[in-house]
Amino acid sequence: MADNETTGSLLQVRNLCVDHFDPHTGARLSVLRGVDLDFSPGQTMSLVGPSGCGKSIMARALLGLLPPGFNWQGEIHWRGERLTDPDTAAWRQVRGRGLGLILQEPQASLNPVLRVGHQIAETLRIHQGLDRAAAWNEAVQLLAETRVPDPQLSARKFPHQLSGGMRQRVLLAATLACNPELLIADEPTTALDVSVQKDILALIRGLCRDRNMALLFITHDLNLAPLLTEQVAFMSEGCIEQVVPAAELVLPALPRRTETAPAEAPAVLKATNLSVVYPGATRLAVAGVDLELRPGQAVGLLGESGCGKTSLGRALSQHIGLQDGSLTLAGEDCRASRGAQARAQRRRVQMLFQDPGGSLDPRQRVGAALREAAADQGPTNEQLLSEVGLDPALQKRYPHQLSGGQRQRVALARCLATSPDVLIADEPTSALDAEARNLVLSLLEGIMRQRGLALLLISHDLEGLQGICGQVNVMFDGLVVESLPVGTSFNPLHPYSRELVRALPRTLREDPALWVQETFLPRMETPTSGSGCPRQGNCRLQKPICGKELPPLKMVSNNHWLRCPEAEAEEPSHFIDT
Amino acid sequence: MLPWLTRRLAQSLLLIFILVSAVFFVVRLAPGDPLNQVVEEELGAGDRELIRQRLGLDGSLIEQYQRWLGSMLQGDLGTSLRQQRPVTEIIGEAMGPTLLLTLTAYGLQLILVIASALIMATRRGQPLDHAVQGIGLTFYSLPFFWLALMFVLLFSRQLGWFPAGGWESPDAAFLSVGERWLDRLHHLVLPAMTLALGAFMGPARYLRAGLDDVLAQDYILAARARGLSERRVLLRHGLRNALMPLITLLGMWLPNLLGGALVVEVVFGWPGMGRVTIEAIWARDYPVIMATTLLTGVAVVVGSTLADLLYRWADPRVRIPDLSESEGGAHDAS
Ligand code: SF4
Repeated sequence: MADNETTGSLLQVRNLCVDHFDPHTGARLSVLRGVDLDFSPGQTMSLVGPSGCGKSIMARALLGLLPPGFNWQGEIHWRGERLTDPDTAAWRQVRGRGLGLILQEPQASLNPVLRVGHQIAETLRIHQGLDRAAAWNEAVQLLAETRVPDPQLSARKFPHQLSGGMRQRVLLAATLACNPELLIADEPTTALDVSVQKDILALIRGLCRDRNMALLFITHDLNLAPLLTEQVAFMSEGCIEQVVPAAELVLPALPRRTETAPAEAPAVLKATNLSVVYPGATRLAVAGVDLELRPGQAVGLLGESGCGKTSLGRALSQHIGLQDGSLTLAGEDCRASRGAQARAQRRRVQMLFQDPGGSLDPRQRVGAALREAAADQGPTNEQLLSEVGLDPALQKRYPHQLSGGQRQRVALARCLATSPDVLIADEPTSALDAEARNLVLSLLEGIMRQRGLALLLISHDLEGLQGICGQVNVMFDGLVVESLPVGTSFNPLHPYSRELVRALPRTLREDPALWVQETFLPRMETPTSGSGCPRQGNCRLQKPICGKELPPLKMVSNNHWLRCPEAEAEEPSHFIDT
Repeated sequence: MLPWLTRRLAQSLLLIFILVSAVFFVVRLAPGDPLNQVVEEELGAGDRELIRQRLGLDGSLIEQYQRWLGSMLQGDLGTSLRQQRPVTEIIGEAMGPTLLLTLTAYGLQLILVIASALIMATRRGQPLDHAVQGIGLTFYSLPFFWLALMFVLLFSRQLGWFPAGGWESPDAAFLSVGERWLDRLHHLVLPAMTLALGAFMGPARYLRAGLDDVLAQDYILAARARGLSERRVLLRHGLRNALMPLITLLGMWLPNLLGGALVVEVVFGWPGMGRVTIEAIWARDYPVIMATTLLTGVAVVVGSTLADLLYRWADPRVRIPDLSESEGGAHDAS
């Protein structure tokens, strides 16, 4: 098989077609339609496309691990040798030693009942024939190579004891145990915070260079592609449409705010010194937050997982009780109201969640879900669905018959059914691909303006916030550490906000030097304690005084509030300017 | 951990107490008089009253309840009305055969459950899957007594391979110890097979569903992508996770171990707890009924507690607290 054309090539795919038998309709659905792909050693390529375009199926086809019910045709050559049957030892050898795979959900990709060191060592024992002790030592080595802190100790942990970023490092170490020549990374950072994402991407980039490992990087986020790979392949509906060098890639413009916010209106929802603590917890999830939401305006809440942003959203929508502070809705004290009044208040504050699949009842048709939520004289289902840009005929569908973006729009329509004054959107776009995300964001903005809705947009996605919000609050460890206006530019001062901006793919592309700076140690591994600023221990500007007391939120310029005396003195420098 | 166990045992004790008390009143309020079982019909009223007193069946229900409670708390389970022997003695004799039968049956069943679940999950839709399901479901849907009778007809009457009933041959007393156990094993085959074959499909389908779930997980895909053999993926990564929910089911088996497989014991004339229970109910032998009820209650509690302990041990996510507990704000909630 090894003719002249294939020597020196690592992987050669010709006319790969995959189809899938759909038991519901009895039809054959085409997933991949004739994909050609070539990899030589050390070559890096991104595969970008919307969800459902066949990216992940392609990764699984290359590994010979298609899900049941999928069939493939075409030619796959590994180092000139044609692979035919996924169950043969030949293909398993390729899986173990040629191709490595890391996946999106790091918590789901590790066996929950085995110590992580064992999962790495197991692979080493099988593929490299090491004995128990040697394999364990090698596993610890690999954990060190993927920069897991304290690898000796971490190897003895179970997956649930590690943070998301650490789990992804462990999975990477287990994959490296096979010493692969081509690493397939299928959305490896989609489930992670931006700062963790940056570190993982930097790690993958470094490993590929050090080991001369080829990389197939699958992502829905075009921004990430040029960071890791030399080439970018665009995929749509099962075909690779074009391959361009990453250097020539022009990133699409972000949706931009159309007009500036209207003049000061009285706040409809006002929170003062809001605090939340969960039963049994020793720390506050939200530690004294002040917030005002005004009709027709959007406020952004930026933060990473565990910072308390979701708890804050739930407290504002009165889904969880307050430990301290006050909350007023159009002048009425929410904490004092009971019974019918409290229920009426709750209807006026609606919440849109991250996972539209989880918030819709799978056994309820769209129409029924909307009717159930609607007020008596409220808008009809048809009105609601067309307001969110959906065909009213979708009423008859069940949630699973909709795409992710459509589901999120149905969830939005359901929020609007009660004609709320306030909408709290908690990561409404983070489960969606780029296209659906932009659609939902512009929809949110339009509805907000049209209805004069007060919108709180909770997100880790700064670029999404920039398109809608006038003011962004940056949250860390239950505290608002900075609150500042955002528009065409975003110039935060707080060291944490600046780390976040620095981790954004756009910033990284503009200034590759930022790659080399390891950002923060993952926060979980260095829990802060006692009083003082929660950033101490992870902060570049830290002074001894920072451990003594919590700095107050101080106004430094018009509408710009900052909780860090050290940063106040620093010269602001721009990070995002468009 | 310890407070959890204490609380749990306290709750269980209360539950057992309520259970036996309820059974106490229910069996006594049910029509029928145990005296009819022990004395002749034509006995004079005076003599009947005397015997009633001797057996502790006189006085109001509440008085009887108090007496019974008092002696039970002192560890005295009373004397069988029918056999005029201590209840503990009767139960002690029946316990051995029952444990032998049910432990064997459940061992067999566990093997059948795991083997058939593995076949069904890996050979989905293939002839072997259909064959296992067909056979398993047939056995599962037949009543135990019918299955037992069919086995007797086929393997005992027709083929003469195994004895039709009892737990040892009539001449067992003359055999050496080794031969006597061989003889018992010979008697054990049919009842144990009936129990195991008749019931394995339920948990097997449960385990198969669990395996399907687990095998669709990303960590299975990741393990396969690391080139691990299918066998290893299935047994070490798949089965290990899928067996976890079965632990709870195992806990629920324990009461059956003591209660005995009632029907099967009766059909095969197996001298175990099942037979003792049935006979006691027919004869309104109150002390024996109360003792078997108590034992069942204890077994339920011990079984589910053991299952929970086992689960805690087997699942590191329960055993070792996860990270999220240490997450949160840097501020003490005060
Ligand atoms: S107060 Fe101190 S530790 Fe906190 S962010 Fe500012 S410089 Fe860093």
